[in-house]
Amino acid sequence: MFFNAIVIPPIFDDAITCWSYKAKVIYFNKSIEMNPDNPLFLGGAYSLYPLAPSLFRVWIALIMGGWHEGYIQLHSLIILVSLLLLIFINLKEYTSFFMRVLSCYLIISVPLFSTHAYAGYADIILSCYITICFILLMKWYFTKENNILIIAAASMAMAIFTKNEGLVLYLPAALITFSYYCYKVAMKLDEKVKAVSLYILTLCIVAGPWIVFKIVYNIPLW
Amino acid sequence: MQIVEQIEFHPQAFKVLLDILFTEGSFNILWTGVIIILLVSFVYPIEEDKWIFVIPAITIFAVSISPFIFSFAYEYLISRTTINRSLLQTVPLIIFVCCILSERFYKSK
Repeated sequence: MFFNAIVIPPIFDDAITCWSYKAKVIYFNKSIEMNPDNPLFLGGAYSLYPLAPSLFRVWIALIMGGWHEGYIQLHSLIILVSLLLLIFINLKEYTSFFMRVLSCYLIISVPLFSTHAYAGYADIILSCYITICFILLMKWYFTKENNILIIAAASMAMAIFTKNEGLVLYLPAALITFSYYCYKVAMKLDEKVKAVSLYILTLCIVAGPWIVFKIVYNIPLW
Repeated sequence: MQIVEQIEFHPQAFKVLLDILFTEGSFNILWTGVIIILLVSFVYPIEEDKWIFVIPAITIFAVSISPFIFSFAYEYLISRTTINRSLLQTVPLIIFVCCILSERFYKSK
């Protein structure tokens, strides 16, 4: 996967025409075009697509001081490794060492995951964000620590800024799960209200600007 | 209004989904294993908090396949491209939940 990531350039449709294209436009123009009449508006193609995956590539290029395709593609592999570590570390509270290793093995054994580790798609980034969100929601249910809830909400907000599925599919799923947890968790009503407020507020602060921007510039939400 | 206008039910999607999940091999035996673990977790008594783990897995799976059943995205189900990527997004969390349920089932025996 490492070899593929640094040697094979983006070869899949969305990776070339959307995520890498936007990133290159933003990186080489050194700014994000904000005029809707300009064909390079928000980095060019697919203005309704969120910017996070492209900005992630721009950020890597800026740190490296130049656009090196192979190294920029490597971010997907790093996210996959982070995802595995996330699962492995967070399962410690619930399962044995054997089960933790097995879970990581099962994830990495899915062929599509190894392909996406260098394909340049945004799905692996979205997967990472929604997994963080739901794992932290479970953790909040057992610990009742609101700082965990804030990170869960921020992660869901980043999922919204990564792909439109984050907004139309996974946000409702997170809200259903959070509602159920709020219903079941052993907390006083005012603590529950505080938790819900924190969750909604964090979502609004992190994802709100992007949604407001789309509404203001009349860009479809999905 | 935009959502309501885009809703269209495709009952034939269920058969295609069953083929994708269980016979076509993109995910090998992953979904078969997931179904078995979820069924076992309901048939056998494990700890009382199983819904805490099951709800996220079920909701995330349901929302990831729902566009292919209830919208124009059914055409992408036929081409098999987007559905595999959608399912891929849910895999880590579902494996996370299944590992917890399996361990609790094992301990409860």
